[in-house]
Amino acid sequence: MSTVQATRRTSGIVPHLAEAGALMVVGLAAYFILTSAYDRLILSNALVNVLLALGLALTLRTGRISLAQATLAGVGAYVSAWLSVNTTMSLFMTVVLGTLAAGVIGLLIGMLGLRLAGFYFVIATLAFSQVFTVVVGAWQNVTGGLNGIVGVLRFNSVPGFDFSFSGGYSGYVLLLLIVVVLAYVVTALMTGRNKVGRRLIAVGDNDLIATSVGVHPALWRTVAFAVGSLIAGLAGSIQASYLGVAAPSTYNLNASVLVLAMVFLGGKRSLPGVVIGAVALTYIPEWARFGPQSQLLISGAFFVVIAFLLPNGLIPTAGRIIRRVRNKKAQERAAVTGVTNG
Amino acid sequence: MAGLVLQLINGVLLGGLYALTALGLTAQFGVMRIVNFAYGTLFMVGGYAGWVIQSTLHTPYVLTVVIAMAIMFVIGTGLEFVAFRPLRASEERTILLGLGIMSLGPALIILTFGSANQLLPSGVTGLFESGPIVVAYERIATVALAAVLILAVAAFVKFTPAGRAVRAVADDPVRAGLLGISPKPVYNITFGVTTALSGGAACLLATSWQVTPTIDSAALLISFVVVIVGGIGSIAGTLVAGVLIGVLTTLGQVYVSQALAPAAPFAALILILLLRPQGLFGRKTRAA
Repeated sequence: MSTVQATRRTSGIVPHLAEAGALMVVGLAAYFILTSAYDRLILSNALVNVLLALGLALTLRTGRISLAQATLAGVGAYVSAWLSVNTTMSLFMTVVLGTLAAGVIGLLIGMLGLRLAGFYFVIATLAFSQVFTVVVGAWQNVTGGLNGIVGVLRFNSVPGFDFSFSGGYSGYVLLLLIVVVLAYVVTALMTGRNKVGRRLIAVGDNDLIATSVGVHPALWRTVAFAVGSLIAGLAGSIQASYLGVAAPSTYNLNASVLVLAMVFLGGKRSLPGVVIGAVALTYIPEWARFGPQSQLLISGAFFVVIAFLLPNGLIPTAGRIIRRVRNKKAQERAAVTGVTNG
Repeated sequence: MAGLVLQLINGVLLGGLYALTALGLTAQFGVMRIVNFAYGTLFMVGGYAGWVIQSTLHTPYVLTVVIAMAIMFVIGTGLEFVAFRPLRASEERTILLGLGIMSLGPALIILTFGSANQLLPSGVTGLFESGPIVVAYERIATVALAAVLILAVAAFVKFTPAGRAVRAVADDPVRAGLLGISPKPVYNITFGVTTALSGGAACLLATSWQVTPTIDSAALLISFVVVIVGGIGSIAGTLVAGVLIGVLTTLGQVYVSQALAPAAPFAALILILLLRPQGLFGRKTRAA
């Protein structure tokens, strides 16, 4: 048993490269199979959600739950949208500043809430989501109130670049490339292939033991959350520039709760799990539009199912079932050969 | 000056109701050590229970509140038995369950009752007037009812044998079990009573908030903030923090901005997390 695990660990880099490659191929294939502009828009939203879910998975790996992931994307979206409407900055600069703004806010929330027991942080992120909604609603001359900020700089503003869903696709490819690279980086951290990753895992598994070997839990949780916030800010800034708008309803508490459901549905510690969860919970609310309440009903139902039946998520649970069946067959085979030998 | 005094009175009256709203949550935190994200949803269900009872049976207001609380007690004990007890061992799964109920609640309420605001009048009319100070008798009456409920809970916990059992379990469930106090029924009754309290608070707040499918998140957030500012598990802390948040919100509405006032409680939350994370009345050991 131990030898199997040892070989798995040393050869760990290959499957993750393969996973990242598969993600690239599937992402490209999906874009060319789906031809309507609407389908391609939803596909891009799915990629943005994969980014949000990846960022959140980092925080979950350190043993904390955040209800602000979509809200942090909103910070990125609003900052980059405001800059692109009110200044002459290039698209690149607005995206960079939007990303950094979300990172700074995430750092502040982390410094405030992550030095305390776990539930303080959940509540702090919940409160931040609510404050964001209140401020965006109240500060109308900056945020545009319920309409959001319209007329955001689009990808076509960069020469040779396009992200229009009907014509050019270089913007989509760039987004997909960012997703694949970050998926690889986040997986490397979550599976402990490097020093930082091993520290995050130590903190997530046991505060006391981590502290005893000199790994500061609050510090590394804050690092994980700040990195997740940067990823969220990047995702939000990119989304605002292909939608052309930053609207409040995209980044409210319900959206953050949905991102959490994505990570838990697929499996918070598995790259295929996070990706499949994010894509599934992008498409299911789109297909099942039986009323304005459908999104809440869907994420609510998933949470109840996850809490009772799938605490590890779909992919790890499926993997365990397959392994169990395989082991049983192997045992039966061994029993049969044992009988004939005896 | 008289205006400020009037707003302070309004804030204290609102804060009394906030304190009752958060009382159930602080008890769940303190006794059961669970983080219940379904709390606001149960509060909302309590408000709707009161509205349905009053509009169909035409009961007097106080009786309406009592019946709604009885219904919420039954719902609370049932929910604890079916859902929260099996997941108790894992904080993460408890939070996920709460988030599920939090998402399902308003959607199901809108599908059942629509999204219109419903009125739950107390029947108390008239104004108390003394110079520039004008306060509706209804607000005084609802806060008086809230005070009765809070005092009843405090007296129960402090002076009755059952209250002693609750304190023993809150202190250390294993040791309480060794002494012959089984934690399970204590958790069950605690969840039932706290859910009933939140339902009662919803009926009282409904006289100023009305009953709508959005009161759940407002109640949940205010309760969390009051619980953390006051200090987890402390009834006195809940009272003080409730009044503080009520005054802050009212003053914010009048002197800062109507639209930004809902953010006032969070300013208090951030300050407390920075300066005194265990809360005003909390014990330091709980924070770490």
